[in-house]
Amino acid sequence: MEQTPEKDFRADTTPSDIQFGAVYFDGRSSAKHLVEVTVRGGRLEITFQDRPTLHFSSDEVRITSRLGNTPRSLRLPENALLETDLNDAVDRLEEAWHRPGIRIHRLESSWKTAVFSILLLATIFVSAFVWGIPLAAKHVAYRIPDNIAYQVGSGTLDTLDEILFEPSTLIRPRKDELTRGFANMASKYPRLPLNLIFRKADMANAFALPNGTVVVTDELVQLAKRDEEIYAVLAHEIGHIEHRHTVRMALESSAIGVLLMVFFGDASQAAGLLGALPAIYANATFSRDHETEADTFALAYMTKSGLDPAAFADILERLTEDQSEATSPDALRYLSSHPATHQRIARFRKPR
Amino acid sequence: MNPLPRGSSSPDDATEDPLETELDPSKRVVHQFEFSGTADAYFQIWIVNMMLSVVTLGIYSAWAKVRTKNYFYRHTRLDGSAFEYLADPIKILKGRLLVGGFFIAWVVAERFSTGWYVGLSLVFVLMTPAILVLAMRFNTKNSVYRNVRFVFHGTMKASYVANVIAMFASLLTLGLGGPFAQWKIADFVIANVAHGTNRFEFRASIAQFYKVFATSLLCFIPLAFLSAAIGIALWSDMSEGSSTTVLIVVGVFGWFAMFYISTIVAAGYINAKLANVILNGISFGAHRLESDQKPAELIWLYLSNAVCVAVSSGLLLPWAMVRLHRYRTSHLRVHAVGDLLSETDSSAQGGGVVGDAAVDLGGLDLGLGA
Repeated sequence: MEQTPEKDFRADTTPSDIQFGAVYFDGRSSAKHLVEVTVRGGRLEITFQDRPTLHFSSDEVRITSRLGNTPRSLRLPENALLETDLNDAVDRLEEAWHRPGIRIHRLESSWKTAVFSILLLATIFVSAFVWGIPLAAKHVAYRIPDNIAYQVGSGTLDTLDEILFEPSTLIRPRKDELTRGFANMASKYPRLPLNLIFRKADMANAFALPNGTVVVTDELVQLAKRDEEIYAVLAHEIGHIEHRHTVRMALESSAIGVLLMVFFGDASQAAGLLGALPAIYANATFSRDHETEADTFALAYMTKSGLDPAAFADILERLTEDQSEATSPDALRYLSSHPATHQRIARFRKPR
Repeated sequence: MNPLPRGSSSPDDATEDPLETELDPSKRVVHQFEFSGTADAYFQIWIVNMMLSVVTLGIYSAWAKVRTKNYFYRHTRLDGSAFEYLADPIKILKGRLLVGGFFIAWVVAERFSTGWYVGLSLVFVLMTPAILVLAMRFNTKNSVYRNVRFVFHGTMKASYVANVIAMFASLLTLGLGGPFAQWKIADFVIANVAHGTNRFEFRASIAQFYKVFATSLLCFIPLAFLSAAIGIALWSDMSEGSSTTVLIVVGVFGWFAMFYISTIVAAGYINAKLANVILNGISFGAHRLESDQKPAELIWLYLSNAVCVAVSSGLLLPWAMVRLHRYRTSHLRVHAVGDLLSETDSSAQGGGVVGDAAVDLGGLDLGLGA
């Protein structure tokens, strides 16, 4: 700052004294006073051009910690303040008075620390995303008492009925047949409050609600060429319920939201819309992992109960044709909620 | 030390303000805001802030916030003196824990319970005017220039009145009242700020706000149509199933890019114009602010910042922030009459850090001060 040049040492100072120019504010107004600060041992002396000299002891002076090359403030009693650009002089003063103010600045002015920080952050972020969050969500989800976990999303079916579903038009004997088959499957998981319902929608699909309700659409029932295919899909949905995927997804997406906020919170403005991409990508990855887990569950169930695993592959293939997912570009798969269909199919066609 | 880029007028520019010509011309001075921060120095501070925040499981983020704000405040000078941010990190931490808890409950409720979700959302909406006041009190109180703190005089009651008027003005008119609503809030916020005992006045007119939004609509309606047309063409192409995968990828990404670029261009245009209207409308005592941001320059800054930040996976964020702050300060000056003198206001109110934290998490930018 032009008005506070570092003055030459005057004749009455000794080499151990610290001396620097500063601007003094009295705490009552914003009027500036150019002053000369001299520190002798534990005493700080302020020399004015037009006022009597002020004296302070070191415990009356609070020094703001160094932050890059920004001006420093020395706070004095009665809200008075000294402001100076001469960071080196203030550093020497802090050292003389054994103040710790410069510690963080040492970290902040070392490129070694910067490189170390980048590597550490990358490691922490990647491991939190790949292992930490999914693992923690899993543990927490299984610790939630059954009655609470199954109440979650109890309003979801009403919402879906309103916006997506119509009443099923399947004939009663067909429904009864499938319900009996499902009850047979459910009897192997007495802990889960499983329940099958039928709805008509625009596409062949099945949903698992966290409260144990599995919704299957008329279109899916019609798409299946043999009942084994329907039971394969139902086994996949039971897998979602058994593994509490809805609860885990909620925990995971909340955690990733908080994590991203810690990283980009202060700077979200500059990142703009692009800031949303990592969250979308992360949630899609979690969702794909859950689908794979549900597939694994279905595969294990089918093998155990003597069903033909290829049935799952068959209906997946037909579903894919139905939804023309095959034409969706590879690059967009990273944002897709399901794993690539051909990979899923391959698992069920593998000769065992 | 004085990195004034092109576009800043020289301090000798004569002004036509009738108030000033009446006064002693020798006392008229133009003080240019100056920003002396650098990208590499801020990068080092930023990366240490991040590292310590993560290592301490977020606790350090409160200290990081104070250091970040201070890096920009203390490097911003007006008439040779820097600004300073004095907030107590412990208070910020408490506010963040409270608001963070609320935020987590809200996110979880979104998945688990519609009733709770709607309830918590409603609580947040109803509290917005109060949060605005708490945040303004906290931020002004902790912003200091020449050892004199800023003060916010807006009351809770006045905030609810202003916000309700603004809300009904934009809802009942299907958005036509939007610019008026913006003006109403800006007027409430700015006219209640003081530097010590030196109260701000807000003279920007409602018409100026409407002009900004009207011109931006004229510019961006064609852009929106173009974007929509490309989207529709792409969609019909895909549903015919005739095009190849590569073409679709290019098309989809092209459309996203188009949409994204339009958003940035619109934001740059409106932010530059609105910042000028708002800042030029501010005066305190005999002094007044002048801002002359250029939409094209701000749009370029936004676009290049977004691309560089994305390509560097966030590492160029500090550089982007420094650039943006430097641009804003280099286009901001004070037309002063005599010294920039304010008395300390000893009756200033406390303010609430919860409001500050809520504003942080909500990503709102009140754009006050330097």
